[in-house]
Amino acid sequence: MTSPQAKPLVEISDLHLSYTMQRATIQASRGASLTIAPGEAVGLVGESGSGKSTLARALLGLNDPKSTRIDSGSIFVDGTDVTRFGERDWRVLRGSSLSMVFQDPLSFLNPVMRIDRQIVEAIPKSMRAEGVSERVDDLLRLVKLPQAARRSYPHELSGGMRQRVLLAMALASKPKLLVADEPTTALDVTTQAEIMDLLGELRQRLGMAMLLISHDLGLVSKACERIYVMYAGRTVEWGPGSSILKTPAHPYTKGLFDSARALRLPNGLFATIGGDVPNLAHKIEGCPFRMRCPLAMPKCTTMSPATQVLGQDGHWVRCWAAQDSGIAPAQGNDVKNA
Amino acid sequence: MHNSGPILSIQNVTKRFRNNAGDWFHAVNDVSLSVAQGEIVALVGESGSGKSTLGRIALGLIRPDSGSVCLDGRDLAGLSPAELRAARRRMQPVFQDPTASLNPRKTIRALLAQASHPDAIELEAYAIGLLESVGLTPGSEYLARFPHELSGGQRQRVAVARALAMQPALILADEALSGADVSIRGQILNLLLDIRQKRNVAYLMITHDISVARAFADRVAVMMRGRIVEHGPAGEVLTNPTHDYTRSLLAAVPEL
Amino acid sequence: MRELFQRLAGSPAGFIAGGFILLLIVVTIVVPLVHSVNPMAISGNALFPPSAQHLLGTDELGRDVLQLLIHGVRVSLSVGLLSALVASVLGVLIGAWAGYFGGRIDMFLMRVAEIFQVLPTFVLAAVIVAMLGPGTTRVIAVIAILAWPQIALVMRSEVYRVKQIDFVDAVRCLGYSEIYILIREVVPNALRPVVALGTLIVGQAILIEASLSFLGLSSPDVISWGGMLNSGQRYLFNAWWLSVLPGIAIFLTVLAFNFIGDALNAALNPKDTGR
Repeated sequence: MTSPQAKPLVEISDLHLSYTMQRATIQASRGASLTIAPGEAVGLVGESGSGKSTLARALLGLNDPKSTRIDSGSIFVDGTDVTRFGERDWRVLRGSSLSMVFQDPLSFLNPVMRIDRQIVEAIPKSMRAEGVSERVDDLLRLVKLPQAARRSYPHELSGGMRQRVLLAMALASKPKLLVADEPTTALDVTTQAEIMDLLGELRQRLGMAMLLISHDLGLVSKACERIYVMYAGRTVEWGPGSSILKTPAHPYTKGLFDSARALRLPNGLFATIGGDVPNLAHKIEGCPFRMRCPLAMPKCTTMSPATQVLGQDGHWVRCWAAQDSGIAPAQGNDVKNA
Repeated sequence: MHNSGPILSIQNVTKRFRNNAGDWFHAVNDVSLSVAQGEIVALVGESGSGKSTLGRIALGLIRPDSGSVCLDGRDLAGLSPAELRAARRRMQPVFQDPTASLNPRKTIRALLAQASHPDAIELEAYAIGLLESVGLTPGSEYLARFPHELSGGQRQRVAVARALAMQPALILADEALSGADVSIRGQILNLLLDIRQKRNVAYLMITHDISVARAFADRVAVMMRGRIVEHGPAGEVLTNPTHDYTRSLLAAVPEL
Repeated sequence: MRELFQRLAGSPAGFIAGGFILLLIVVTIVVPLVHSVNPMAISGNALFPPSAQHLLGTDELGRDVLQLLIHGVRVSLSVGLLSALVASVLGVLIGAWAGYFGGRIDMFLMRVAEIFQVLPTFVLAAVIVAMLGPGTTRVIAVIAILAWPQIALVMRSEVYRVKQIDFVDAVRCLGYSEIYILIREVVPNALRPVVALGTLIVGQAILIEASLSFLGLSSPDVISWGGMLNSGQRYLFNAWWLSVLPGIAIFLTVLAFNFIGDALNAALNPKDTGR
């Protein structure tokens, strides 16, 4: 549904970002690139400590400007460079183009305010002229909440209903992009399925793009057209979901998917990735995955892998082994510098 | 020594709690379940299904309203407090969040010494052996550390090592893998398999993760609103379920 | 522990306050050793203003005010520290028991604590001391009895929170007794807020002691800042130093303990540094 020529809604290029925490400098983004076309559903997967939430917060301007610094790279939203944005610019952008839902709806809802008032507050001032009450009705209908929920307080609702309220608030500004950071992690699987169905339906109806951040690969591959895999602050592989799922090129992606499937190897053991994620306070030379990689070679220690394309469907990978092994690029050496 | 009979046998257990409105509800309603030596049983269900309450009843942390919990054929209800404390050592828990399940003020050495079987004489060597058996090598390097100095995966390994220290016959894993990333989850599952092979430990695994239950368990029991609605070999129940609830549960899980 | 000191040093107010208290303690110990003058001794003219000979002047009986102030530290600090210590021990024991075991004992103890909380502390202290007669030990006992409920309520809620954390159940499954779990596992993890609160109580106690002395509810042969304030107020217009200087001493000391309490509270609560 998206042509590659369409002007991207979001374009993050080779972002390097660091923040300070208890006197340590955490380099949370170390070459993260990501594009989202208008109306597209993009998934961002990675384990905890991969920097996926920091990347999403950078896109939303939610990182604390006092402790966070963009070292290099750029973030374009709707053609505008937002890396130098101040708090006021961000508020305008978040009120018009960007919205978000997070894992824990309760911490974003005011416990002593009724649902309808909270939704009203989420409607931008410029849109309040046209009958606010009807707008609240519309939004509640959109997220399939009963009218009775209008006069409820957050604690009277179930977890799934609270997430719907948050979604209604996110949709109040008619955003072009919805960033959903682990939106269903706290929910039961049946509720999760309902929320994910709702998200898919809303996207279709409103033509809204979505960035879904999750550690649940099954969820992301079902809901998203394209998937980015992140490791140690860097996007290491991305492309159409089907292609990533069937022919993962990066050994990390392969290990991640095999582990997520709870795949048992011929020897009876579970597929896993040895070792631990690297500490993002330290500098890493070469490929950050090489310490855990079964295919690591001398080159990986010294040189950061270049980004290369595989096939014609926009499947990219940053791995020396993917180039040297049989999975090799279909289009010769279309190598972009990292 | 403890042959043939099940290690843990839960018979017709019922437990009611009062909800916020003051009404009674059945957290666990007439449930029976047993675990044999070296067996892996998974108890799956959603939040509020009563699976964690059942787990705490099995551990003797909650007293059931009716029904019995037998460990090695002895009813826990008939034991004196001292006997109950001794009996509990045969059954060790591993909880979901290792940050909460390890006392933050104790070093790994102190945590393992506290958990060590009274028969263990060479405590230091015993603790190192435990750490190495859960893949924390060299074990001596971890002894002086505090839990917060370890990664989440390492902490969960320490929690497993502590559970093993008592040389239990059964380990009750209550969502023990839910907080872990998938690559770490695989490492811990392999560790549990390895421990079972070497020590013939049985597992009662309480989880909402269908794919893990299917791949790891021998038997599975599906719980819904306090009752076990389906029960049988893991491959069968979680591939060709007969109960509607199990079917809807499976349908809701996005497959990879 | 080293980390705690680093964090404390990071708070300038707490650091300065800590230095001030340390100085007071050193002064009370060292000065009588090197300079064994009886502070009660008449050493010059009465009501003499601050000068090179008497740095802070003399009082109506011709005693050196600096000497009196230095000796007054002892009463203020010992009353403050000892009553806070007694109150903390009582509060920790009662609060821990109530929070851990709950039930009827909990109900009873907490009702008692609440009754103490609504009583007007100072008035009650004044009445008791007036009835029993003055004396440092009595003052310490009265303040401790009035202050323990604050500690007990905090300790109870903290123990109640800690006992629900998984590690308590994990240790229970290792076969340890409830008393062991309470003392070895729960209480050490619940002491943080009590330490900070105890420091604040030191300040409160010093203030109560000074107020009692100011009202004349202390024995005249014990030098205390509150007592100096009491006798000095009569000369407020012709010898200001007699009342202003002890006032400043009380103010600074109480302030210092409050700053230390706040700094300890911040340093012992690492949650607000996370991201």
